[in-house]
Amino acid sequence: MTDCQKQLLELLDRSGAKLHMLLTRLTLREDVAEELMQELFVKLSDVATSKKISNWDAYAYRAAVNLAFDWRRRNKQIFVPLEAVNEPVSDDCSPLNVLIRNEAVQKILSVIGRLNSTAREAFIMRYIQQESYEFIAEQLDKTPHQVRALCSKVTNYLRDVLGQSRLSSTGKEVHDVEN
Amino acid sequence: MSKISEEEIRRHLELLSRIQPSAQSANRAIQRVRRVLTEHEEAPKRKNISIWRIIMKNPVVKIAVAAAVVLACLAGLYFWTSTQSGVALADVLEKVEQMQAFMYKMKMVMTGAMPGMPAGKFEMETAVTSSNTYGTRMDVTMTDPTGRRDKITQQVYFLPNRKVQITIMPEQKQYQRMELDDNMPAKMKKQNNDPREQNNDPREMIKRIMNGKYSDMGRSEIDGVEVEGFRTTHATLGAMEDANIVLWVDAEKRLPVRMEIDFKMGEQIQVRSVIYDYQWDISVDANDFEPVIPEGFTSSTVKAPSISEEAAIEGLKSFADILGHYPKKLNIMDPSREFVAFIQELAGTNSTGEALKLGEKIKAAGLKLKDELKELKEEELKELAKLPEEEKIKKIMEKIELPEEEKIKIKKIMENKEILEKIGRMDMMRQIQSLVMFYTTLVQEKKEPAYYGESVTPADTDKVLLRWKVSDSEYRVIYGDLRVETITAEKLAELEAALPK
Repeated sequence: MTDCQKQLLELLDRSGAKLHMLLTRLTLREDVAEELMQELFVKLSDVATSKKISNWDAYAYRAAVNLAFDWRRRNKQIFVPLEAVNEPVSDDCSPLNVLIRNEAVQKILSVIGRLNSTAREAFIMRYIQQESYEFIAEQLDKTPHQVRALCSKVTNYLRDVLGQSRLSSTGKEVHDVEN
Repeated sequence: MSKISEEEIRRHLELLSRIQPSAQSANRAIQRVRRVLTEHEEAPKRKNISIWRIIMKNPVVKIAVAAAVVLACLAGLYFWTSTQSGVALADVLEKVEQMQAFMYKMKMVMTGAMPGMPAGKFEMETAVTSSNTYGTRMDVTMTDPTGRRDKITQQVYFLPNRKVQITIMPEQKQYQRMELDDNMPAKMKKQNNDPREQNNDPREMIKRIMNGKYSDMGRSEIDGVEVEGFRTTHATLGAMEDANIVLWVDAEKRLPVRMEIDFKMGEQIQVRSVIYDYQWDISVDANDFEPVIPEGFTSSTVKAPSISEEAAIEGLKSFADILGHYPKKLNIMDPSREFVAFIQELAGTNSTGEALKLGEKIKAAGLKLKDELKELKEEELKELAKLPEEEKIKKIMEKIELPEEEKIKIKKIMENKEILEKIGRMDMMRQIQSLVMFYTTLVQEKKEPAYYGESVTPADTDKVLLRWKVSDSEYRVIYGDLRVETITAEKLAELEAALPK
């Protein structure tokens, strides 16, 4: 077994469940999250041979978020759940199925997908993964104060865009909320 | 209406943050990754494979399966609305429409030069189960176009209710999930509100496409059953040219017994297909249409071709970006053929089988080379890195032990690695399929499409590349620079008069 494989297996043991949970929350589809999880680690194994990664957890987290939003972009009209290939994932009243049909949640995720990467990562870590500001700051190489300000800007931005989209069907262009 | 408040946003986010995947799903995901990491070849090998991915996505198999799907659609058909003979085809249609599920078998032989292959014969046998409720399942056995095995098999599940097609490939230990574009059912819905239209019901599709002239062939006997035959040469399905279709119907039960279909795909491929062993009104349940993925199979997800003006333009753009010109024709075969010929030119071989073998040799040589490079001192590696690309390839080739002839071919591939990889990332076959399907739909909808890819290039900014009718007096036009405009019939006549003859 190569060093690269060992590193990735350690990452899988340490953070696999968390990454899979993140992918499920962002796609709202267990079957897709399983696929993306595999795709994620295949990508990571490619990267492992060509780059020296100092913080694998942060790198994997970022790659997972990108994969999930790439998938959302490709499938932006598919809100109806596809039953998992292997077995049904849940009954109709499960929180996941309830959320899939929740238009506001889908819109929130769609707007988050349009943010720049740092703002998006910070916001997801804070509000979807419920991480502390200190932890996020460490992952993003920022101060907790900067992260708090970034999350606040994103919240305002979400409120503005989603408020407008209720008034009219035209969406607001993506803002650089990092500044 | 008021804006969404911050509180509402937070509440929805909290809902999201409470989502926990099921333990089975989490376990499955982690075990899958563990298998991939421990069983698969290490990453450097994948680099070389990526060059070959575009060649390994064999177009012949794709085209053959696509043809099978078209034929599968024909299999349940009833395209004639009346007849003077003893059997009224309208009655047959009525009976078939009452069937909730049925099965049949199909044998297909494609003869000619297929994209990526020397001229030859490609055979396929398929057992099809079709249900109004659940979808269609096809168990396919076919010639391996690469010649590596006697036969290859696939199980194809077309599940329109789930908007997905799943293809299981046992020999490759893989399965592929194709997410069906929302445009497809939407487009069909627009044409007809019958929900069966949304499921791409073959009988309805064929009824719509083939309504017209036919001849009565009189009575005959098949396997002891008295049958009546009907022939049409007026089929206008996108994939089929010069189609000759003969349908044999049970004279007493008024149900199809056998169908023989001959048609051409492009100018060089002749297809002969026989559909037989129909079993009508069978009992099926959801399990019959539930794909069973064996443990350890790896998956891939692809997007289905899309039938839209935007997708067609994307296809034209990508084709021109890579090949420098537009497809000469937009029939089902020629754009793929042009594209594959271009790839083969880049790869320096006209055989997919040879390309695959070379790919394996590159992999092996690459691994050996990697070991040898490890032996080099740091200074030597730096020197190598500094060399111009051509020199670098030459030096590397010196280290690979292969016959000179193969070295030349591998060198050519390495020289074209960048563009080959770019093509691999572009999913060109899907884009070509989208383009062809869009054009085919225009033909089927009798929108008077005309395509001028043989004479119009990307530099011809004001020349009509593709046009079709959108109303009694207006046409939609895609110009050489891929601008789109709706113009009057008079303006179109002017523009077309200026096209090179």
